[in-house]
Amino acid sequence: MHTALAENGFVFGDDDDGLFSKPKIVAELKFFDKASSQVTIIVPGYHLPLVRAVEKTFNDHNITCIKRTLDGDIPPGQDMIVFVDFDEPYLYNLTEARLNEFVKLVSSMKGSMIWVTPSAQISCKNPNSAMILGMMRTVRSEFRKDITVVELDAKRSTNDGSSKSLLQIYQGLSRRTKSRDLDPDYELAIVDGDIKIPRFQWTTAEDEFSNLAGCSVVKGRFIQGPSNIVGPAQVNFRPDSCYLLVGGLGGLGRMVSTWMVENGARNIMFFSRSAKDGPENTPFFNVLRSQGCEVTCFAGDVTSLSDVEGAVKQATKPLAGVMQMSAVMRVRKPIYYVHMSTR
Amino acid sequence: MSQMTFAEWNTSVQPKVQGTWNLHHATSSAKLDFFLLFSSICGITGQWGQGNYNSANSFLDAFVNYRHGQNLPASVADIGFMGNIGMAVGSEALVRTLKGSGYYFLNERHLIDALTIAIVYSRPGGDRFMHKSQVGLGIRSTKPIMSPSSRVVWKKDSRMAMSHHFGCIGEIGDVERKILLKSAYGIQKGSDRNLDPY
Repeated sequence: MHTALAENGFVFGDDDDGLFSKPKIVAELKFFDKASSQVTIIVPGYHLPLVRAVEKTFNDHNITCIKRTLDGDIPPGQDMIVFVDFDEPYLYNLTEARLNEFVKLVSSMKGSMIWVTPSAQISCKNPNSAMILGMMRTVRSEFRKDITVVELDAKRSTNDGSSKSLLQIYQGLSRRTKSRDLDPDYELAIVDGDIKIPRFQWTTAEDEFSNLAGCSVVKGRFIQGPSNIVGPAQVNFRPDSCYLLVGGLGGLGRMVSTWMVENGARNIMFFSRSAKDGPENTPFFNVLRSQGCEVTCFAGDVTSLSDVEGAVKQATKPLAGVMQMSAVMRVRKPIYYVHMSTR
Repeated sequence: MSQMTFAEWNTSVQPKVQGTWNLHHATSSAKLDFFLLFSSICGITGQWGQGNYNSANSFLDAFVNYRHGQNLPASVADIGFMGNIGMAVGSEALVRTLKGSGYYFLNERHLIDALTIAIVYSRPGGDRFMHKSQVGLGIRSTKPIMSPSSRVVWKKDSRMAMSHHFGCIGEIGDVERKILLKSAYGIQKGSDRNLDPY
């Protein structure tokens, strides 16, 4: 086997300590540079030192970097590495022109794209850049494009280290194995010089509750789990505090507020554009009121800071929790538009 | 998505993105137990037809990490398809189509359990690579995941690779309840390597 691996490009490391006591990599596939290749680097509007480091690292490995900006002509057949999120998060405060520019870019591309973005899923300094994750997941499912999103924690990595990791990722693109059952990893994160991949883990409500069951009071005073039975844990809401439910008068919001009142909440403020007493809502409010809960409404727009501040100021008890349920849906293809709508 | 207009973008993005920023700023002096964001599993799976909505949902997921970085409570529930509480599952025909594709429909109990867990894990701290404050629910296929009859959008998603071990969720009693998920980046450094494909 040793010979077979060696013939196929594997290089063996030192393996004299504890080979069988813990998992260890004894041989790795060594990457050799391709004869020469070319990659388009899409740069932000200002000078980003990382770009220079990437250019140098790639050039050292016979990869020519062609720098372009998003509004310029981008040859569709080329592989691309995109750094524009480091300027300002690209999808946040999107303009119509930029939306069109983005759609054109991803729908016309034929090669591979690596979209580099600040860290979002491990640590997050600015959630605005995280919008690209949901967008690219959709682009992949709709257009079947080869787009890898790489999160980079710039504070914890040197430009030199990051560009080496990016080179490794770029060179790895052509070596990904095609599987009938699973797509390759399209999301990666460079953390402390490592390349991380995301995996979801499944758990059960029962397991989670039994983890909590040992402690009768968890995290301060507002969660209580049963001390020895494995059953649903219970959230005991504070009777002397106010809870703000935003967008919460659809089926979802009614269910959630009913649950909160059943578990101790005695002061709930509904905030939405349509939150007011009237034939539609008052019968429901009266059910909550009959259980001893004070219900207040604030009709306002959550996208207006002064409206939100107005609602918070109007709370008659200290605010102890916020439920953000705003979810206005406008989707063109009704066939797969399925999600809750709350108002 | 190529047909999405700018107006559609703003209508679905702003209440979640700007709305959440506003709530964050307006409650900065309150002593909150929780700041719970309702997001959608679609933001994780990239359900087609809603790039705008999914962008806003991945923003919400990251907002939890952002608030934790500031030592503020936050959690998010990424909710899957729900059948019975008037959640605009368009039409009966649409529900049939989705169920026929293997999508699992949640009930109220699932949601309340998930909200409970999300609220419990509101506080920052904990594992840097395992976010207990992010609770997803509804990532399961009622048909064998590798069979052609399952057409869930995430069937080939490597982030969901573990679901392949379940085979057909819905047939196996023990995993019948496995409806919640947490995200994790890689696996903690065990030996000298992470789960590193390169």
